[in-house]
Formats: sequence, structure tokens, C-alpha cells
Amino acid sequence: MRTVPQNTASTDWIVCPARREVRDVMNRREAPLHFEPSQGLSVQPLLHVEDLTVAYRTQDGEQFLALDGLTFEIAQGEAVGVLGESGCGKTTLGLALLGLLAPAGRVIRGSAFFRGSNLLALAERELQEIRGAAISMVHQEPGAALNPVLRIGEHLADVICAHRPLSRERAREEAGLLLAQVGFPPETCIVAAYPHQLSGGQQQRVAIAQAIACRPSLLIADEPTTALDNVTQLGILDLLTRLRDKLHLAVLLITHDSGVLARTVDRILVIRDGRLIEQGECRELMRWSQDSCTQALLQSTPVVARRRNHEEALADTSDPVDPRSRDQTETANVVAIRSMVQECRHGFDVLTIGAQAREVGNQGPLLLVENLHKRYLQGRWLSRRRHQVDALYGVELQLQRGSTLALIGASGSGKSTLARCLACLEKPDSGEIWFEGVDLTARTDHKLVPFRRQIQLIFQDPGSSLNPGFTALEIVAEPLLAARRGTKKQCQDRALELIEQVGLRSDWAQRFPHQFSAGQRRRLAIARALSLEPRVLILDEALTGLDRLVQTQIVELLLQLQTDLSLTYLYISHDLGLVARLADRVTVLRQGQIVETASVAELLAHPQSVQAINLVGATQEQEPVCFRSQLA
Amino acid sequence: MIFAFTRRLAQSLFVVFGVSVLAFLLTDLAPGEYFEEMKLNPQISPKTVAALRAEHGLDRPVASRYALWVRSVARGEFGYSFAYNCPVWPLLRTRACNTLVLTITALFFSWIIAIPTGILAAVGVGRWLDQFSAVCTSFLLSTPDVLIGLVLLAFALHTRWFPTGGMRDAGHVETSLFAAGRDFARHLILPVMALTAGTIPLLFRHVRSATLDVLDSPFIVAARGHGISRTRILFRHVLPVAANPLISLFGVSMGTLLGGSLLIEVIMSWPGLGPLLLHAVLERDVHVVIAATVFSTLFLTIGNLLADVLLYMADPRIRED
Amino acid sequence: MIRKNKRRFSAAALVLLLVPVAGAGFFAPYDPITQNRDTPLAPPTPIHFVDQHGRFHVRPFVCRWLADDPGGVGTREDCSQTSPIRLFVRNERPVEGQTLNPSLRLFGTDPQERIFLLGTDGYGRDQFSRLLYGGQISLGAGLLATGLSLGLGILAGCVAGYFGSWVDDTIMRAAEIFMALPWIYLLLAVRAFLPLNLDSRQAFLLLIGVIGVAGWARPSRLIRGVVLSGKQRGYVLAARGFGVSTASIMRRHILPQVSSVALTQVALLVPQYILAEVTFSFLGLGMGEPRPSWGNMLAGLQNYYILTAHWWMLASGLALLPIFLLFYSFADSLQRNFPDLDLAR
Repeated sequence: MRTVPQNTASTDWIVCPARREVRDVMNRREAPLHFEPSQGLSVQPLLHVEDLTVAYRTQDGEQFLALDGLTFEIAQGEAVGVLGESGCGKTTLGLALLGLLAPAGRVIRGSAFFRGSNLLALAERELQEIRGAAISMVHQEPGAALNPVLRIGEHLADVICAHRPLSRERAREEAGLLLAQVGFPPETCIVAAYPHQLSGGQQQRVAIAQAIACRPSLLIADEPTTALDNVTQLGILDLLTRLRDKLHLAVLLITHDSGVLARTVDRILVIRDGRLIEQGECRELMRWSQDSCTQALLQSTPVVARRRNHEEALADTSDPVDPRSRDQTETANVVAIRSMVQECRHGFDVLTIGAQAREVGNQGPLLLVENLHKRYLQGRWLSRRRHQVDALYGVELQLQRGSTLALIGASGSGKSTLARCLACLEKPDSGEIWFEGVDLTARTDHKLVPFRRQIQLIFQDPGSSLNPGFTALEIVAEPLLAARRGTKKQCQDRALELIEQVGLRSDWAQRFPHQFSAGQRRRLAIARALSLEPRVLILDEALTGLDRLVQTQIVELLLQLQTDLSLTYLYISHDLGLVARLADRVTVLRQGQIVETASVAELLAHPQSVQAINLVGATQEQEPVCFRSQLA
Repeated sequence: MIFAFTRRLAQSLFVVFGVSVLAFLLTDLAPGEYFEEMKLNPQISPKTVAALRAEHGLDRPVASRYALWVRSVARGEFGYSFAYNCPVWPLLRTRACNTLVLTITALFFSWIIAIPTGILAAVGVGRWLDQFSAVCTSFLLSTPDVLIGLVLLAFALHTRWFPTGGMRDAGHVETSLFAAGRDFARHLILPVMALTAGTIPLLFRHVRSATLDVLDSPFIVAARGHGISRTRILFRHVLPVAANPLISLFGVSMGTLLGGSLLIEVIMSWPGLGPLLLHAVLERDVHVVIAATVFSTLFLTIGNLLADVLLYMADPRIRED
Repeated sequence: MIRKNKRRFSAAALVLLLVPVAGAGFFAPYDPITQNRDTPLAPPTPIHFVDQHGRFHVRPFVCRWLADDPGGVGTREDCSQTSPIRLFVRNERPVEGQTLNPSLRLFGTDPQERIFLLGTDGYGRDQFSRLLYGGQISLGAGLLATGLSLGLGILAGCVAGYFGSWVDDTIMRAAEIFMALPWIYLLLAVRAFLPLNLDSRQAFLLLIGVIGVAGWARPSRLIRGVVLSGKQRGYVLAARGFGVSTASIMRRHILPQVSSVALTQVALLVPQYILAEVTFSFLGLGMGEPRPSWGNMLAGLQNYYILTAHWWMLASGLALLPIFLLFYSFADSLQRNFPDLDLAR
């Protein structure tokens, strides 16, 4: 079976979301309300920031510049996006404008003129009048931004009464109207609820209601959708756009996710290390960006691609000379779609997708799960209120050798429980798990140890899965030492090899986990998992919470390792974009039961279950558009 | 809510019961008893001693002695004091009241002083008030109760501003309720001062750190971002949330005060549970010891229960569970 | 950086203060039991550099102390007879019950004279010496009781946290009962049922035992919390996935966290237990006469006459102040040097 070489130019090109043509998305906002610099100063900008520099004093007494010489403008009613990796100073921008910097931060120089006065030079009392009434802010984590002991109605009434001369009762009535404006149905009793009783999306809507309560001119939204799942993100962004049109609001949207920006803003400011790298209109930036970093940021968004046609793809890739290749490709058990991001050449974006057939044999599944049940008893030993929760109910799945199966489900659907059962860390109540013909559930704990080593689990948050008191070398060498694979020196040498294999430098081996970045910690976790040469790697949301750029890099690493070491992956996630890049087949889990199993292509084209439909729809509407400027 | 409360109540009763059982078990281990000295006295015949012991049930096994005691509790006597030759309850009642009055007054004053200073220190963190209070509280925290009591006593003796020792002036005829009350209050000042001085530093630190924690929260930044004034933020946003850890501290502070009161009562001759217990320990008056122990447990448990109820009313997140 | 210095400074200062106490045989001029009936309740001996003729001496000296009238309690100075303060004086006679009896003492005067740096008590015993020897009892009891209490607490906490379920519940119920009593009441209750008349050695051991056993509950709760949260950490789960044995997991992953909590507990418990010993001895339930302990040195102050006129008797109480200050500042610096060790950022 011939595999397709990777750098082919004549391959499938990306078809944009099925529901909406790309051009529609961009055409809708063909004429944004923004300030054209070439037209002269006929319209005053709403906010003019000049040479803004903010420094933080660290615990050791040193200073580092969070923002350095930032200069930009926002016109009335314009939506501007701020794009950058985490840690580049985006949040500091929002806080500095409103004078909310932490005590360790100071504005060193610069000005921010808003309606004729310099925000950075105002006294606290005057700033208080501007905050909430003229400029307001929506924060990243909505749950943390709401006071847990106050009711929602009180939250809104507080903001209203702080700026408008209304009585408390009138303010409460206004609160009800505000909530209707942000999308709550009028008959809900949200007004009397406490924040912890609401979901993340609802909390963010309440925060937005607070922000627009006094009709500000500028809304600063600091990563408003990062903590929410795809479907809810869409709703919040829609809300922001609607409010912006209705209230003639200028929006400063700060995020690291370019997909969010494509939907909502007119102009983009790209910030790196506190400095403004580029700014320009959304569409143009995505097409003509000069800077390689920006390109990487923009293109690292995983694109949900839809293959045109199974046979056509095969026809493209099979060898016209060899008549038997078509038959061979047809006998492939699993066909994966791989997307690759190439380095951007000057002036052109080229995205390449290669369809690659994997070498899969016919020996039967590597891991077979039959009718798995697991129940949890919640509540303490002697408590009266113990009740049973079905974490897994009749779960069945198959994992083929060398392939990647993705498991999708909302939180609480039992994904992590399933992962732990498969990794032999928990015993299911009934059902069977067959690994290479051996029934794992029938084995005692002691006999399971060699199998546990073959099936490794990588956790979501390496912050807690790496012992902060161990060095990187100790972390990766621990499994080798536990399994007694040689002397201590041999184990450490092997550990160093593994560290290099995952793309880290071996002279970092003596560092502690907190000295690595988030992406590097994931690599460490992967290195540790690989140390015992497992057959199966279960990745439990291993890529969530990372920047897009880093996610891409880790995905590349995983794919590389899969080919090099012939691994089998079970990838658990709720992010369909990543699933499309990594997986061959997808299983959807809902409240402990499997509701759908299909190949990735089928799921994207014809999702059957409700969850799949929601996820596919949400993802497709959100991804940005990258064109090929010319067909090869 | 009722269910949770009754469960806590049952738990507390179980604990008090456990304490009484433990105390009774320990008496069995005690290598000595009240009648030891009587035995040594050649003028008293062994038969008298044996009769006395039988009368008080001291020759029976532990379980039946405990049953006797429980019956005595039910009758309202709480056992029999050998030293005072009367049921324990009348002794205990007056003494317990005195201790309660002292403890509650000191509790009130220490919270009244600690809360505003703690909040002010947290709000102006790093400034002169904060640093000055930090130094003062470190100093007070490191001073043992014994020393505080003795120094205050010495001060009172020198200046003669306050009456030292006792609850009432000896030889004072109670002319009116008002005069009696005033006399009582004057005698209360010194012990309360001593107790408060011992408790304030700890409370201050906790109030300050609880307030600082809340001031750092994201929702306070968000509230400031909405333009709400600082005073309003302090009273409406910070205090209700900071109340949570402080209410939990309420039960603990009750325990600290009860413990501290024992020593202060002994030093300042305040007729409370402390001197009673000490005397009983030295005399081996078993029933008084057990009763005093159980009562102090009861006070502490009631304080904790009260704190739980307050917490339930203050924090809506707890009501959810 | 400042915190690190604070930690080192308080630790160094503590050690510095503990040296004279530990080496009381050398640092104290007299033994703590000898009575000087003719100079009871004498104030601290003034040290002079200039004698009654107005001459300046490089070596400081003390004057003789006389009683005001025979049998009375007043004392006065008679500077017609002086004796210089000497360093490294030969030891008159060894103190009984001490392991170390060096042949020299740090300072002293002529054999007939006395230098009372902190005055004398009602029996004419040198307060300074009693302070140093008494410190051995009080500080020693506090330290040893902390060790006992923490040991019991770690054992109980680890067992409860590790095994969980009914073992955990039973141990925690027992701990609740111990914590249901206010601390001093608990101490008295436990002490009440033990013999009252003991010799000093038995009293010392008894003190350690009572305080240590009474205080096991709070550390055990803390340790149990650490073990429970450690058990649920991702890296413990991962280690199980590699087939690491449970003993190894406890040793390598959980115990280091326990040790950091335990160290902070030590710094907080030692002052509390020293205070417990002082309280016991003050109330007459701890170390008895004639052996000094900081507590029974304060017991005499319950007499109002002594309290008002003889401030130097408060010395042992005042000595507790710097020690507690240093312990608490050490504990403070520790708590900040072990910040939350998880990467929850």
C-alpha cells in the first residue's frame, strides 16, 4: 500500500463550513463602521492610546514590562480585537485603561485619551464615574467575577444605582429588563438566583448585562469566551455582536483565539511580548500578514475540513499507472484525514491537506470493551443521603491497532471514568475489557500491573499529574525505576533519550515542572507515559487549555510518535477541531452511554446524535477562513 | 436544613457523651481517691471508710458507677461532691454562670475591637496602621496569658483603679440592684481586660487575612470596574464574603477564651469554673471534675453549633448542600 | 530574600537563646536549690564600676548585701566590702540531677559573696540560675511533648488518610472528642487522674506524656488532610498506573508533603506546649519544689505582696516573650517559604 507523500500541492482544498459560504461571512461585514485614517480627522476617535507602557514589580524586586509603547485608536462603534498568546500583556491593557492594575503594576508612561481626558492621569473619584458608565469590562472567568453571596438582581442593581439616580426598586426592575436584553427568557427567575446556581454561559451573560447596564461607549471584553465550551461561545459572541449593533457600542475584544475574532471584529491588533506587532483589518491581516508569528497564530486554528468524496480522494492519491492500487486503497480499514500547516510563504497562504491511509492490519481490535458498567456511590460512609450514579452504562467500543479513536462527550458524561477503567486504575462493576485477547477485568490487582504499563493514561492537567518536587529527569525515570528496567543510571539515560524525543532539551532535565511552560509540561507527561513502551496511550483532554499554537505543535508531536512507535491512541476531548486532526474514528458519549460511533468524515458530514450535531455546527460556524490565493 | 441541623446536634451530643464516658473511664485508672487521706488517719476506722465508700458507690464497677452518675444527672444533681459534701449541681450552676458571663463579655469585646482594626489594616495594607498593628499583635501574641494576668494585677494593685480579685466587694451591702450591678461590673473589668488582651491578636490576624483574601478576589476587581464606590464595595461585597471564614473562627475563639478564662479566673480569684476544677483536681473530688469537664465541653459545642447556624444563614452556597 | 533571612535570623536567634539554657551548668553562677536565708527577696545586684571612693575600676564589682534587720525581709547594700566579678570561676559543688557538671562556671564572685543578676526569691535562691535551670525543664518538656504529639498525630493522620472508610471515621471521631474540650480543661482532665505527688524525674516525664497525648488530635487532622489530598493528586494516580507499589507512593510522593506541614506545626506547637508546662507548674500540678521550672517560679507571684514590690520575680514570664516571638516569626517565615506547591495557575 503506497502512502501519500506529505508535501503534495495538488490535494484537497479546504471547503469552508457547510452551512454558510465563506464569502457570506465576510461580505456581511463588508462595510464596518470604522474610522478610515485616510479620511482625515473628521471623526474623533473614541479612545486614543499613545505609547502606553506598563511595568510589574516582581517579588524579587525586579521590573518587567508587561506593555511597551502601545499606540492605537478605537473609533466610535468600532470593534477591535487584540490577539496574542497568553502572557503577552493583553489583559494588562484592559486593566490599565480602567485603572484596575494590581498594586505591583504601574503605568510608566503613555496616555489614553477618552472623550478628551487622559484616563491614566485621572484621580480615583473621576475614574469611578467613568468605570461602568462610559467604559465597562467583562472578565475572563464569569463565575469568579460575580460575588457568590449576592443575588443576580442585586449585582445588576448595584451597578445601576452606582451611576444612575434611580431608587433601588426601580433599579431592580431595570435589572429584569437588562436580563431580557442579554437573552434570558422573561419568565426565568434568574433575578433571585445566586451565581453558583447558573451555568458558565449564563454567568457570562449576567456579566455582560452588568457591563451594558449604564450604556457605556466602550466595552472591554477580556477573553470572554475562553472558559466556555464551543456551543456557548457561539452564543456569547452572537450576543456581543447584537448588542454592539443595537447600542452602537465600541468593543475591545481581547483573546488568543483567532476564530473568535473572525466572527466579531473589524480590526485586529496583534501583540507579542507587550509590543504591538501589527494591526489591520481582519480580512486583510489573515490574508496578507507579513509577520511569521501572526501567521502561525492565525493558521494554527485547527480547521474542520470536510472531504468532498471518499472515492474522489482515493482517486487523487492512487497511482494511475498501477491498476491494483485502487483495490488496495479500497481495502484500507481506516482512512484518516490529516491536515498540515505549512510555513507561510511571502504573500500567500497555502494550506495543505493530505489524505493518508494508515497501515492497518486485519488482526482484530487491540482493545475491546464489552458492556461496561460502573456505578458510583456518592456520600459518606454513614450518611443517609447516599445515592447511586451510573457513570458508565453498557459501554462498548473497539480500538484498532495503530489507529486513533476519539471519545467526545460533555463534562460529566463519564469520559474520565472510562479512561480510568481502561487504564486499569479503577475496576468496573461489570463488563469485560479485552486487551490483546486477555480479559483485564478478570485479573486481580496484582496481576494487572504489567497491563497497566501497556496502557498509559495522560491526564488533562499536568500541573497536578507531575510532582512539583521532582525534577524532569526524576519524573520521566520514575516508571522505569518502578518497573526495574535496568540500573538507576540506565534508567536515567533512557529518560534523557525520551525527553529529547518529545522535543525538549536534555539540559533542562534538572528543572522542576513549574519552570516549564504549559506545553512543555504536556511533553513531559507524554515522555513519562512513553517510558514503558506502552501499546495504547489514552489522552484524557490532554490538549485542552493550551494556546492554539502550542496545541498544533503537540498534535504534530503525537502524530509523529504514532508513526515512529506504532502507538494506538484513545483521544478524549470535547474539541472537534483537534479530534478531526488526530482521529480516525469518533465515539460520542452521553451520560455514560455511547450514542454514536462513526468515522471522522461521516460524523462531520452527517452527525446523527444531538450532541454531535451541536458540536459540529458550533465548530463550523466559528472557524476562520483561510483562502488559497491560487490553485496550483 | 432541619435535617442537617439535627444531624449536627446528634453529632454534638454524641461527642459530649463520649467525653463523659472517657472521663469516667479515666477515673477508674486514677491511682488515688478522695478517701485516701481518710484511710491514713488512724482515728477513723476502716469500717467507717468502707461505709462512706459504699454510700458513694465507690466500690462498684465502672459501668454501674456510670449508670449511677447518669441517673444523678437525670435527677439534676450531677453527682456528689466529696469536698463540699453536697450535690454538684448547685456548685456548678453558680460557677458556670460566672464563667459564662466573663467569657461572653470578653468574646464580645475582643470581636468588637478585632473586626474594625483587622478590616482597616487589610484595606490599608502596608501602611502605618497595618505595620503598627502587626507589631502590637506579634508582641501580644507572644505574651503568655499568665504574664498578662499577673502584670495587669500588679498594675491594678499599684494604681488602685480597679478592684482586684473576687466578684463583689466583701462587706458590701447590696443596697440596690443598680449599685450591685455597678459593683459587679467594676470587678469584671480586670479579668475581661486580661482575657481580651490574650484573644485579640489571634482574631485580628484572622480578620485581616480573611479580608485580604477577599480583597484580592476577581469579583472585587469586577465590582471596582463597574464604578462602585470603595465604601460600598467594602460593606456590601467584602464583608459578607469575609464573614464566612470569620464565623467559623467564632467557635474556635470560644474555645480559646474558655481555656484562657481558667487561668485568669485563678489569678484574679474570679469565682468561676476554673478555680472549682483546680480545687477538685487537687482534692481528687471526682464528680466535680467530671461535671466541670462535661460542662466546658457543652459550652464549646454550643458555641460551634451557633457558628454553624450563623454560617448557614450567611452563606448561600452552604444552603445548597 | 527577606523571608529567607527572616527564617535564618529567627532560627539563629533561637539557638542562641537556647544555648545558655542547655548549658545551664556553665552559664549559671549558682545551683538552683541552694537557699540564702539571709537575703530573701533581694533585688538584682547592682554592678558597679566606680567604688565609694570614686575610683574607677576596669573590672566591675558588686557590694555585699546585708539584711536590714535580722529575720526581716529588707536588704540593703553595704559597699564597704566589695568583690570583683570574675570570669570562669571554679565550680563550688556539682548540682545533683544534672548530666553535665562542668568544673567551671562562666562568671561569679568571691566564694563568700553572691551576685544575683535577677535577684532572689522568698527563700533566697538565685533567680538567674533558677531561670536557666528551669528553662531546661520548661523548654525541654515543650520540645519533647511536641515530638510526642506530632509523632502520634502523623501516625494517626497517615493511617486515617491512607485507609479511609471506617478506620478514618473512627480516628476522626476520637480526635473530635479530644478537640471538644478547651485545651486547658483537657489538660487538667487528663492530669486529674494521675498521681499528684511525684518526684521531679517522674513529674517531668508525666508532663511530657500528658501534654503530648492530649495534643495529638489537631496535628492528626492536618496530616490526614494532606494525605487525603495527596492521594488524589494526578501524580499519585499516574504512579499507580506505572505499577509503583503503595509503600513507594507513600514514601516518595506523600510523605514529603507531610514533612513540610509537620515542620510548620513544630514551630507553632512548641510555644503552646511550653506554655502548657508553665501553666501546669504554676497551678501546682507540674514540677514541684524545689526543682525550678518557669511555671513554679511564677507561682509565688500569686501573693500580692510579692507581686507589687518585687518585679524581678516576673523574670521567667518575661523570658517567654522573646522565645515565643522567635518561634512565631520562624513559623511565619516557614509558611511563606512553602507556598502552595501545586501549579494551580
